Amino acid sequence: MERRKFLKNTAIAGSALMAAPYISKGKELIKFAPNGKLGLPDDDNIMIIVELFGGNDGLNTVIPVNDSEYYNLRPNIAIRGEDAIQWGDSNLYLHPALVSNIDNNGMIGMLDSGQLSIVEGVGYQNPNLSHFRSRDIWHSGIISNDPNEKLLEGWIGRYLSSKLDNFPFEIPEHPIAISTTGTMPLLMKSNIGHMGITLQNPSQQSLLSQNIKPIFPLAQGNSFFEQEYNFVHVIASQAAEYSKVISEAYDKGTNAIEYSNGRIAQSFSEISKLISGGLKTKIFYLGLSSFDSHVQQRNPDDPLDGQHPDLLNVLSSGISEFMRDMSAQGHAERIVGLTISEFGRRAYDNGSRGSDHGAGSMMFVFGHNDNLRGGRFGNPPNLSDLENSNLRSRPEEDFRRVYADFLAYWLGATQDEIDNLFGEAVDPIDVLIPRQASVKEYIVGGKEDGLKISPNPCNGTGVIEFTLIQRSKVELIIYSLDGKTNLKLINDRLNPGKYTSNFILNKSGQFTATAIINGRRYSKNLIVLK
Amino acid sequence: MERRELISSNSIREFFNEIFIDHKNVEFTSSLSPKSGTLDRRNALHLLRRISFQPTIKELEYFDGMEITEAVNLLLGDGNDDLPENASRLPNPDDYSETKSWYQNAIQSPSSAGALELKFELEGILKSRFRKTQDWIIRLAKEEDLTENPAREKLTYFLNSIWNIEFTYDTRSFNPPNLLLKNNNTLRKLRLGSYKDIAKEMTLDGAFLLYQSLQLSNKEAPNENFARELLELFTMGIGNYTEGNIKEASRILTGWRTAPFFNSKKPNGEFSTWFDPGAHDKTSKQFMGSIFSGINESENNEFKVRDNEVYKLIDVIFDVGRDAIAKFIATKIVKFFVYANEKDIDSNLVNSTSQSLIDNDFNLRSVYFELFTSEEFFDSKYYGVQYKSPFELIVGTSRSFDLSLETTEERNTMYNMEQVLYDPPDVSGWEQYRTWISTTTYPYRNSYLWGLVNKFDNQSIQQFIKDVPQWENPDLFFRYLFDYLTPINFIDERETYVVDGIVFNNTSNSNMTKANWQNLVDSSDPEILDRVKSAISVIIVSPDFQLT
Repeated sequence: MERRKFLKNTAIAGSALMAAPYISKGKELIKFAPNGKLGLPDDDNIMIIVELFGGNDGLNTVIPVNDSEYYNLRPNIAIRGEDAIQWGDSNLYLHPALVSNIDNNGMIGMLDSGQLSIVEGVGYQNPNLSHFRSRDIWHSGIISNDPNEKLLEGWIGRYLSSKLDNFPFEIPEHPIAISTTGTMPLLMKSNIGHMGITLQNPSQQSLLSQNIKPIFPLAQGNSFFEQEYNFVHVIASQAAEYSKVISEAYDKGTNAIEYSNGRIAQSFSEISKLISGGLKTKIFYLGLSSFDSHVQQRNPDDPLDGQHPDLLNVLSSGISEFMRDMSAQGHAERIVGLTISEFGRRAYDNGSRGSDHGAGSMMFVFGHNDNLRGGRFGNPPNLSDLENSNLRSRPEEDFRRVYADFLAYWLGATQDEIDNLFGEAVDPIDVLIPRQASVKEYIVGGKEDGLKISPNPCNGTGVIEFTLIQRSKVELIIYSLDGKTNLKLINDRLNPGKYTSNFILNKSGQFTATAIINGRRYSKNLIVLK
Repeated sequence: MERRELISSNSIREFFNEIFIDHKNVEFTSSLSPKSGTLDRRNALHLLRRISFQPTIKELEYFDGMEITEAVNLLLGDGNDDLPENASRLPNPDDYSETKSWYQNAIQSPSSAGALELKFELEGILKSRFRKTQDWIIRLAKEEDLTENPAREKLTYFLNSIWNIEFTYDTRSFNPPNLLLKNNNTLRKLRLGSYKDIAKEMTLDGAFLLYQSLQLSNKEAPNENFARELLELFTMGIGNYTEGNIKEASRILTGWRTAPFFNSKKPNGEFSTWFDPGAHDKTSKQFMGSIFSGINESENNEFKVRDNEVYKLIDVIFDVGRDAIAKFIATKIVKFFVYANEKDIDSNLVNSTSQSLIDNDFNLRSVYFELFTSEEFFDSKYYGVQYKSPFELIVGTSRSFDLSLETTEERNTMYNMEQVLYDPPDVSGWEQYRTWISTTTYPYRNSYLWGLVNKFDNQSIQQFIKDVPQWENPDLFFRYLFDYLTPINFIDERETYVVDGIVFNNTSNSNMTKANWQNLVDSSDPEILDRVKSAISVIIVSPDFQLT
């Protein structure tokens, strides 16, 4: 891929623009305000989204080496057992391109250190095998096969726009979201405008953005023309404004490791510099395309040679290098990320040594091991139970459940907000663990006064009370210090509100009541005197 | 289960499933209302910018005042004006002698070439020819003269933006651009014809066979890539076909090959499509309720299979899906030529255009004529609401000022603005509309415009001024300048700023007055020319210059 060159043309042409009095000093119509003041979560969490466009072949990513059906269905492209790389002594085998020739064994190294989860079987019901419709479904988080329903807003765009009441008149002074592709993905679009910016050359940003700030104000009306004019105006103003913060962060930031040459690794190295230089962007999006492996997916003589292995290799290099860099610079616990792809491939291969579009695939989720339940999640493919020659997707592995983790545990969304965002209830799949430092309380009163036990001490019967702030996964347990009692009172997802739970304990002693809410523990001692 | 079994049991089930797809005829009640009268400067600009690119001043003057129907007839032409085989129709044949020579001649297949260095060298040649192909297309658009010839290039670009082909040179696919030049000329030739014929031609087009993997598809394992895109992106749109339809169509489409390299088999000559009977599935197929009977060996030849299977497939698609296709293509026409905003798209306009497609049996010239002479098209709410693609920005701005950057610089700048002709991001093409403008592309767009303005020397500014009719009157000149360069001139403040604040600001030089304007220009006064250059810069680097 060519490195982008820019034209050194940006100079004032002709005589000086000397006519200041002729421009009205009218109100500055776009105001840039500190990010934390605009209703966005005021923490330093960062989320990374990597899109594998074209439909990544999940069956040739995590290899079902113990399933003979895999080899029956894919005589031309299957990865042989001896070529796949086993994780420890588990039954998880990865494509060798995710591991070989990568420092620290790429994704196997990440699995070893708890920095990687693999969510299998993800998809949605009645899968659409059009790249474009399915991509729109993944970007919007709206599962609709009705072609008349236009999917024009992304789930990130909708969420962020719900936090920015006065956009575009007030805009965060650091971009909230950045796409490292040249054009804005649907993901970040919303009905009030684009919630992110695109950025490809942070090193050249300030040079490129000279003399682009519009001189005349936004249009006041709402005609088609004025809407489009204002759209361009906002982009131009953002390009001018953000070039400063971006250049500043980029110049200040460093990489602690050397990145490989792949496209995605280079984008990761730039993101790393921006993060280490102090840019307050919360969401970064990267795209890697050419996963549409209809033909010549791999070289039959060498599992590491071919377009699909090349892509897996640059992907694994990029992600693992980025996490090493972030760890070395002390930013790793701020980062979680995921990969998305509009679908997988057909279970059987085609005659062109490739594979056609198919439903059901897998996602990588990565991050610091404190924030991630590493290893294998979801539903490994069952090749003996296909649906129209495709992997079956079960509602339990709705891809949006992974999004819900990011929203609930990383971006500060309440369960109500999540349900509203997707138009139906979507529970987190719990692959992420909320970051302790950034967590707000889930129950009124927090750790100190959240659980109320009365009476305490008691004679064996009593009530535990708490008030849930947002829809959450709740476990309420009483256990004795000797470990002999373990009484589970609640294990459910609950809506916000006040809850009371009666208990009966039939012996004296010291107990602890613990509520585990979205992984966060609230405990209170309880004494029973019989 | 065996793979073959899996496919066939599946396709039978799908065959029965598809009866549940409702192909009922939709009644498109509205129709376009013809507009009569003559063009004035404003609607002439609107028409020319949509049917072609930003016009030259000469073109604007030619059409300003003309009867609308006459103008549209002239602009569309009859479609017989140029045939791709006729190389002398390429503009400036001398400049393209090199293009013409490689256009006719294939090179060796890099994948069969031995040494690595040789492969790199061959790929280098392919890549450089690919760039020449792009340059050729850009140049055709820039040099189009609508006072002499019909508006070919925008209409060709429209079809090209539907029938997308993506030739890239970083995926080891060794694509010969000769096929693209051929493809582009086919679209140019058919631009006013029946959309059905375009579908037939494109299905067997060499560049498509290669790009959409039909080249490798065979009866043992048909490749579904093209069949899916044919239904989804080029004709019906999603929701109108089943996975079973795709499987059957891909069986119908087995056996077609192109001849990309000199060491390829080429029974029909260089770069020509041919048929390999051994790769074609002769057994019977069922597609959208039509039976394609099994054939014997004597029928398994290029012409019979083309007519009885490939062309029949397209005919069945258009018979069964007529209304869906009409709506799908009408939506593309409205988005491309009127307003690309999908959210606020006018469903009456789409319905009327759909009805026009049906009434005219998908003949594009008739549909274009009805659209471009309609009241709806000239509704002033659509003036200036379209985004210039990088291609349109470069072609249009170059045409406005008769200025261009170096070809290489122009190509790089288009790449930076996220458009490489014949290399869109994917088979669905460029997303267009607001996606063209981002914090990445906007600075490059601006930088390109500054670069172009900086190419203005005194002589070319003077020439530009004098091309404007009645330029001698400064008020009329600046009125014209704003009309001509902006999508709609809506910022009064800017006009004051430019005219009084820049050009006739006599605080530093008392000569710079409206009274002296004609003399100053006639005598090539460097300061006035420089000030006009500043005035032009202020206009073209404003956000609205991205719209048309």
